[in-house]
Amino acid sequence: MSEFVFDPMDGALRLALASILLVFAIILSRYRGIGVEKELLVGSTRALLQLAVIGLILTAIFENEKIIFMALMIAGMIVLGGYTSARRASGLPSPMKITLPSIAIGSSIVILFLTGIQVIPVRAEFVIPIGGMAVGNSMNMCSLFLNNFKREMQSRHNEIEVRLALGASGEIALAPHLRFSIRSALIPTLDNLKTLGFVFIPGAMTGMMIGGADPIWAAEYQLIVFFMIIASGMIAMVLASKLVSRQIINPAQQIVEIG
Amino acid sequence: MGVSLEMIDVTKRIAGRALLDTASMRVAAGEISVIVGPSGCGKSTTLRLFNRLYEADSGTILVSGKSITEIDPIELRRTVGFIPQIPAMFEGTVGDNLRFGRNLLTGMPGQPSNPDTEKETLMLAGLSPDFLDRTASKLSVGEQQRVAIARALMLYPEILLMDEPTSALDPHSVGKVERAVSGINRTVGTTFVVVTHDPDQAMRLGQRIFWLNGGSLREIDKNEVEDLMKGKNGCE
Repeated sequence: MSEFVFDPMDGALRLALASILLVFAIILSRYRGIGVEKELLVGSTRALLQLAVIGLILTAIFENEKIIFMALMIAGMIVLGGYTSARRASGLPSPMKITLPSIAIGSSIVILFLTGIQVIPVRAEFVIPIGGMAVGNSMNMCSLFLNNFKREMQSRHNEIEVRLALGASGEIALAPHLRFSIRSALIPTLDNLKTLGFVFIPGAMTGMMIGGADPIWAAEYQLIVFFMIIASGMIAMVLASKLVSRQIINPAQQIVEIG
Repeated sequence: MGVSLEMIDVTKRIAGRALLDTASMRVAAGEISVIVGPSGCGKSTTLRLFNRLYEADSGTILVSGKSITEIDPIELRRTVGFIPQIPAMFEGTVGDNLRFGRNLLTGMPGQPSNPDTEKETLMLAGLSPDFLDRTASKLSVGEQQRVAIARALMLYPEILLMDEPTSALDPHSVGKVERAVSGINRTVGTTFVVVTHDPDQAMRLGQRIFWLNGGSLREIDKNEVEDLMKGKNGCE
C-alpha cells in the first residue's frame, strides 16, 4: 500500500510549492521575450479551477457508483472533445458532424468492449479515467487527422481533381490522401508505443505506481490503455475519414472548396 | 460535321463575379477549338464546366446533344477527358499512371492493361515506349504533360479538354505537345478544347477560336486574336 495519505492542507501546500516551477517558467518567458506569461498564468488558473470542479464532481460520482452518472460524465467528455476537435477542422462545411460521431463511436466501442469482457470493472474510478483517456486520445487523433487532411486538400488539390477527371469516384480520388492523413496522425502514438517504458513512463502507469500499485500490474494496465487508445483512435479516424469524404465530395463527384 | 459540345446561356459566378454571363458556344466534333482571353477571365473555369468538375449556376451544356446533368458524372468524365495546367503525376511508373483510368473502367485495380495499347498511346502522345517503366515524378514537366495526355487517352475520350497545357514548358517542349495534340486529332479524331493565353498558340492549334472576356464568349477570326490580346493584361 502507498504511504501517500491525502490531507487537504498538506495537498494545498505541496501544490503551492510546486507552483514555484510555474513562476520560474513565467520568469523565463519574460526574460527571453517569449511572450507567453499571460497565457501561462491564465491557463494554469483555468486548469486549477477546472480540476477542482472535476475533482468535486468525481468525488460525488465515486460515492454514488451509479452507471447513469458515469455515462453522463463520459457523454460530457465526448461532446467537449467533439467541439474541441471541430475547432481544429474549421473551414470544413460542418466539422462538428464529423468529429462528434467519430469520437463518440470510437471511444464508446472500446469502453463497452473493455467493461463487457471485464478487463476493467464497471466502477466509476476505473471507467471515468480510462474512458477519459479513450475520449481524449480519439479527440487528439481526430484533430491531427483532420488537420493533416486539410493540408493534403490544399497541397494535392490538383492530383485529386485529376483522379476525378479520369472517372474516379470521390472515394477513390480521396483514398490515398485519407490514408496518408491517418498514417501521419498515428505517428506520435506509434512512436510512444515503440519507446514505452524506456523513454517515458506514461501517465496511467505513473499514476498507479504513485497510488501504490505493483509496477507489473501498472504496466499491464498501461498496455491495456495503449491498446484502447490505438483502437479508439483508429475507429474515430476511419469514421471521420468516411464523414469528411461526404462533405468534401458532393453527389456530382465535385470537390467542395474548403476555407 | 456534328456538334460535340454546346454551351447555351451559361452563367457562372465565383466570389460574386460573373466569369460567364449567359454565354454560349458550339464545338464541332473532330475539331480543335481554342479559348483565348486575358488571365483571370474564367477560361479554366469554363473548361471545368464541360465535364462537371464545376457546376454552372444556370444554363445548359450538351455533350453530343445530351445535357451533362443527365449523364452520370463518372461516365461523363470518361467521355470528356481533362488535362490540367500542371500535370499531376500519381505515385509509381508511367505505366501505373496510364493504367489508373483503365483499371477503374474494368473494375480491376492493379491489373495490367494491354501493354501494346499503353505503348501505342505513349507514342501517340509523342513519347517513346521506353517511358513505360520510368518513375513518373522524375520526368521533366514537358514529358509529364505528355504522360498526362496519354493517361487521358487510355480512356478513349471523345473530347479532351486541356487547360493551358504548355504554360509551364520551354519552347522545345511546347512544340512537342502541340504536335501531339494535332496528331491525335488527325489520327484518332478526338475533339479538343484547349485553353491558352498565348495568341500564337491559338493561331497554330485552333481550327476555331473563341474569345472570353468580361463574361462573354464569342467565336472570332484568327486575324482578330492578336489585336484583341494586345494590351490586355487583365479581365474587363
